[in-house]
Formats: sequence, structure tokens, C-alpha cells
Amino acid sequence: MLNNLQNIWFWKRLVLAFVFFYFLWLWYSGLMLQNIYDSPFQYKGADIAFWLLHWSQLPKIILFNEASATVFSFLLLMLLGLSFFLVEKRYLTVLAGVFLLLYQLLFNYKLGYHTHHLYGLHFALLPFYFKKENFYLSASFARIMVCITYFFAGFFKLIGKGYLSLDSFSNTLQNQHSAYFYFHSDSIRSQFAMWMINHENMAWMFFFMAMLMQLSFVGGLLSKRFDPFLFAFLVLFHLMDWFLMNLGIFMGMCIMSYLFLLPKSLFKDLRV
Amino acid sequence: MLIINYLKQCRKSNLGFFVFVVVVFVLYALQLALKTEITPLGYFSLYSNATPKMDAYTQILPSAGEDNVPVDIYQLPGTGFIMMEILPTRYQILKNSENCNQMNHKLHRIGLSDRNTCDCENLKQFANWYKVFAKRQGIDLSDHYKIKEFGFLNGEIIRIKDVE
Repeated sequence: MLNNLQNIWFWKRLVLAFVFFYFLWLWYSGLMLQNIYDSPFQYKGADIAFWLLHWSQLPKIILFNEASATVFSFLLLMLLGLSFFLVEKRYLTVLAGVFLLLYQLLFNYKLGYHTHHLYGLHFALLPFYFKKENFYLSASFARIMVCITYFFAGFFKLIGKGYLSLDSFSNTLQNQHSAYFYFHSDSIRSQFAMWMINHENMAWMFFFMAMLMQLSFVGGLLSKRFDPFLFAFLVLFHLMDWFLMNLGIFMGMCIMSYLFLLPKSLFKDLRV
Repeated sequence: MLIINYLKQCRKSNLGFFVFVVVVFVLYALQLALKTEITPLGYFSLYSNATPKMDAYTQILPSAGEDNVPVDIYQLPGTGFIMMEILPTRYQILKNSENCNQMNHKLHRIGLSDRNTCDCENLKQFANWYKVFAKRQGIDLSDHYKIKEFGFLNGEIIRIKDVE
């Protein structure tokens, strides 16, 4: 039987391993900084974090050339790996988190678009940035943040009123796969998406269910009783995001679903 | 209620952590109130509004040459196609935005403004850079390639427009 501390290290290693392999997947997909370091974009939008990054001159240093961008990517992977092996060294995890945040900011800055596909990784790693005595507080906080985020995603769908239009999701699918249908009309994804497009009621129901799933995360702010359902909803949501919408880039978000699986016994001696 | 109990417990047991939690909540609340991004850990509200039916659904893609044949970006490994999709779309959006910042109107709303001119100047290199980028990703575009807006419907090309 593992004691609580060993259990925390087990969860930490599990999360770090998933994050590490997710980055290998991004590397394989050509989504690292060395792929985009010299793009003509330097998009800051209205986000203060991106303006601070721009003013700091860090992009000029890290993205100086292909070699410097590649070294940064290697360092990020190395820090994730070292945090896995030296699991008790909290500073390595914090450093990996800083590199992860920098990667996200720099990637979006050079992509010209503030995509949020990495914040799931931040929420997943957040409990391990703090002292183990604070694990209960930090893991609970990360869990609350996940609930707030998904609830608001559903809430915006609710006030956006897209669900009031019966053919809206069919049109969304047409829009999402417009070019994909042209190149890969025979693929399973195309066939399923096309079936949805031709059955507007089913597509509408699918969208409505997704919105309800997201709204149900409000339950996680009231009680931990629904956690197994929220875990299943989160994984299912992103699986369908990948299969139906071809948004596999968001699959990394599934890593934070572990926050709904942490056993109560884990906090027994740590609960303050 | 779990969240209220959590905040009470947090304040009682670790004041430093409680302050951290409050700062994050305030940032999120500000983000919602100002309706603008202020943290890179923001919410996502994709597909909130209704998508109208269209005659054709557009996608900006590189074209192989004079023949107006779009390049199959979905052949790239993993989710690499997403960059080939996003980059020319963002080029078109940012190029047509005030000072090449799509969020300038939101900055105006909070009394700020992006008046830089070098972002627009840099964007002039986009077409040349995109060819270099595509090659790096594994797609060799010809010297005569063009970025075009293709209008599709049910897997067929309905119309083609040049992207300046």
C-alpha cells in the first residue's frame, strides 16, 4: 500500500508523462517554436500577457534563429523529463511550467492567433507547483478552475443562442470540414460529419448535448459527488472534438481530467 | 457549497495561497467584465453563435499554380494541417484590421490603443515566408503558388478568389 506522499508522486509522474508525450506529438505535428520562429506575425491582441512578453524582448532572444528556438524546445522537454525522474524537486516542475507558459505565449505570438489549446496542461500541472502540504488546496483550486472554464464555455453557448437555430451545427460542420470533404470525402470522419449535416435534428441534438455537458460543470462547484461524470464528460467532449470537428489539438486538455479522479484518501493527512 | 467552503478553508489555512486564488479569480472576473483577453489561460467560447447557411463555405489554402488546384494540407503528419489552415486565415484577418491588431477595438474600449506600424510592414513578407514554412512542414509549393480563398460546398469547389 502506498502512503499519501508516494501517491502524490504517482499522480505527478502520470501527469508529467502525459504532458511529455503530448509535446512529442506536437513536435511530430510540426507545432514547435522552431517551425514558426521566423513568421512575420507578432500578435499581441488585447492580452496584457502578450504585451509584457513583447516588451520584455524575450521573443527576440528565444526566437533569434532556428537553433535558439530548437534549444528552447529541447529544454522544455528536458525539464518535463527531469521533473518526472526527480519527482521531489519542485523547482524543476515550476521551471517546466514557466517554459510551458513561454512556449504557449511565443507560439501564439508567432501564429497570429491566441489559441488556448495548452491551458489544460497548466491546470493539470498547477497542483505540483506548490509545497506538498498545500496539495489539497492547489489540487482543489485547479479542479475549481476547470469547472469554471467549462461552465463558462457552455454559458457562452447558452447566451450566444446558437442552439435556437436548428441548422446551425450542420452549417458549422460544413464550415469546419469544407476543404477536408474535398480531399478526403471517403474517410470515416467525413462520412459521419456528412451524415450529421444531412440530419439536422441529430446535429442540433449533438450540439445541445455538448452545451449541457459543459453547463453541468457548475455541479462541480457545488459538490464533488458528480466528479466521475465530469471526468467522463471532459474526456468525451474532447474525443468528439477530435473525431467530429477534427480539433485533435485540444486532446491534451484531457490530461486535466485526472483532477476529477483524485481519491479522497489522498488528502487524508494533507487536508489542513 | 463547495466553492464557498473552499475559499473559507483556504483563507483559514494558508493566507498566501488564498491571496493567489483571489488574484486569479479577479483576473477572470475582469476578463469577463471587460469582454477581452487579459490572461493566456482564458475561457474558450468557440461556436457560441449560430452559423448561417451559406452558398459556399470558405477555406484559405495555397494553390498549386495556375490551375487553381488547392494543396492537400491534410496529408501532413499529426495535427500539422492546423497551422497551414490558421496562418493564411490570420494573415487575411490581421491585414484587414486596424494597425494589424484584430483586438484594437477592444483596446479602445478600455482606453488603450495599438498604434504600431511595424506589424503591418512585417505582414508584407507573408507570402514568401509561407512558402518557406510549408517546405519546412513537408509541402513543396511551386514558385507560382498563390494563396486563394476557395469556396466549397459538399466537397466541391464552387468559387475561387485571390487573397491579396
